Amino acid sequence: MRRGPKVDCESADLTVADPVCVSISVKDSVAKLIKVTSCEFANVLQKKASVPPKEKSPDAGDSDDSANAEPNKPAKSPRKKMPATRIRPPGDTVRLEDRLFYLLQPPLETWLGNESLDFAFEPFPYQYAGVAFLYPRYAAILADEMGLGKTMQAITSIRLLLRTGEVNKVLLICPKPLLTNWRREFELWAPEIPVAIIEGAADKRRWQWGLDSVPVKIANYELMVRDQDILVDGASKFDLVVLDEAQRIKNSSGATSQVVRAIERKRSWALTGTPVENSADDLYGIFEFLAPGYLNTTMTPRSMGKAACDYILRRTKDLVLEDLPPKMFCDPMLNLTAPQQEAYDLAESQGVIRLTEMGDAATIQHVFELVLRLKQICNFDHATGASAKFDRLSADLEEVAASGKKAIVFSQWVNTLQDLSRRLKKDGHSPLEYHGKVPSSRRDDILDRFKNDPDCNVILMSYGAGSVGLNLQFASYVFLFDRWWNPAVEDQAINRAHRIGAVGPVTVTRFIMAGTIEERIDEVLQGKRELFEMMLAHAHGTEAPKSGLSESEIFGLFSLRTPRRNAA
Amino acid sequence: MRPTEKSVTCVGYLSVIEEEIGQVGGLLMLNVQARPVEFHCTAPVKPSRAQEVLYGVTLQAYVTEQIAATLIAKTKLSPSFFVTDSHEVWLSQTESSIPTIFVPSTGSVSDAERIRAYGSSRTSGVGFDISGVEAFVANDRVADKSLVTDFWSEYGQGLEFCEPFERIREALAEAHGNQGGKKRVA
Repeated sequence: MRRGPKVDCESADLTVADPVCVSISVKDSVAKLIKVTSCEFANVLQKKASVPPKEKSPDAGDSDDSANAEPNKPAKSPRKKMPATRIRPPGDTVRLEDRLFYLLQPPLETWLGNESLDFAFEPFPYQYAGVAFLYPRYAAILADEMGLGKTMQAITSIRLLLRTGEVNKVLLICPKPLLTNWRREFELWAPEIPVAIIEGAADKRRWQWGLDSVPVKIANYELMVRDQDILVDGASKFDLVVLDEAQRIKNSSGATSQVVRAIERKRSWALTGTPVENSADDLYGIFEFLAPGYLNTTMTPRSMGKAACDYILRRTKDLVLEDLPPKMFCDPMLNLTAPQQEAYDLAESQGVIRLTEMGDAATIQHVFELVLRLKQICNFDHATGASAKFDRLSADLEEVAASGKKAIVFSQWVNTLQDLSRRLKKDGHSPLEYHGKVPSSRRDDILDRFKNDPDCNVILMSYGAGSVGLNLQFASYVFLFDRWWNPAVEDQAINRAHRIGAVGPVTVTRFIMAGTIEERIDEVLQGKRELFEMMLAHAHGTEAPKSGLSESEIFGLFSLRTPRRNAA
Repeated sequence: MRPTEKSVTCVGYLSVIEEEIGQVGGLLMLNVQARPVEFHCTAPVKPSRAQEVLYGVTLQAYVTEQIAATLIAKTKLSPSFFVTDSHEVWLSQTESSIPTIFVPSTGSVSDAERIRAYGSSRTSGVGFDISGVEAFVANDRVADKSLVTDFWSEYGQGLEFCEPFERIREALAEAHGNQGGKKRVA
């Protein structure tokens, strides 16, 4: 009997299980038609065919040539690396689908080029980065230093969002003097987008607010309070609200801030070169608009800065503009003329005596009055008209005119500017004035004349009207006839000339009268400026700078102690 | 009129990457403006030890084929052609009705050299230059070359041919929570 061997068989399944596939439905990339008859928002998928063929680069592949190439021997040409600014998902984007949506987008340069979004000028790489920062964000602060083109970056981002159909209704709020500047910038950077400036009588404004055919509405801050009934009634919903010079709402209990925050919206952007002007509370105020409750006043500046960092983009000129011409400071320390000195000494001694006598009843307002009086004497002695500053300014402007350059003169007082205008006219200049007493309707013409009229070498500006938003990079000289309290405001003023497009060095002359209140204020502000710059250089996390003067510092200008206040 | 999904002109970019957690694949469909219209990615596939031993050197190719097939089966759109930086994917698709071209990843000349070295075998290809990039079509599908170059000359001016692979890699890293430590599967 034979028995065969027993063979046991064990089977092993060696097939690899079907890979699990995750499909991400990328958001509709077909641009939704914006319901604007005057706009040409064509279907992006079909538009490419109508784009005229670009000139072939020598590196570009050529089908005919490659077809004739030797088999298996491809023509080797170096791979051309294109600039690529990628859009990154914001930190608060939680859903994977949304994060992938941003990661899968083409480089911004490619995208904008394919959308036929032409630019008046080729943007700088950091401006592409700014657009890539703003575009995906529902809450953002673009805090670039003045002159880096926040306006252009915001407009391009709005343009992209409108083109892709992600927003349809945009409200831009800015200071009143900048309304026409924004319109001009839209005409320059996004000429296809209809823009409406909300202005005029109440009935007209109500009609303008209701215009659905205009995707971008521009209004000023003051109007927000007046039109709050229209804006917060629930019928006015915006896809995006942009605040220019957003430090205007840093006081979260202010009426403007409350109305702006009550506007129904999906996205909130803030543009400001100075997100922290005086204290960390400034940032809190802006965040109450961007993301209410995200920051709170009990947070330390360090933790507040850390929490906010993903929402803020700040670049400085030194960081990104290697080709920007230098900015040179000249701080002449002038001596008062004899009549000025006499008037100054008298006013100061009387003022200090009065403050001393008042004791604890003295308020900061009393000190301010004295400071302003002394600063005015530093400008002019009104009894005799003597002015060491004017004598120096007049001499400097002679040189400016002779060299065919242009100059901006800043003062905090309209009366001073008008006085300067009269005196300069006597000296043969043709100064232009741009301040609060100049009607808005005339301001554009004045700026055009300053730019284009070779006989107009000087424009006299108030800090309030001329320090923000204006592009005066054709001016080579900036004179600060008197000093502002806040270095940030002075910087804003200086940067009207020292900004992108400046073709030569900008000389900034800050007049300081030796041995006066101006010298004392300058010392305090210089210290604060250094602190501010040091803190910005170290990003977020340290104590926020105080740019203005505190109560004790103001009393200290006259060696007075700060009065004790009784609790209410 | 808005085009229907099937009528959308698009190109599919397919990549398979080996990560520590296994092989993962991504398929990105781009319209003619290089914007994404579809994206699919796989969960990591990690063969067992037994499979590694028994499949030997063919295992990776097999897994890659499975991943590619799964991804392609999921697409709703029909692309004008596929582009892959995976040699194995390209080999597995040479008989597909949709042209597939192979672009060795930057710095990896070995794939290109390998294709040339195979001579007239099935795995050989015809090389051509497209937008400064060396690409290959299968030896028996030379006609695909003009299809691709014609398409690119019409739509691809100013675009970087291989750039979408970077997007796929970033998306896979994001999806799998890994920002590094991956390599492309040959």
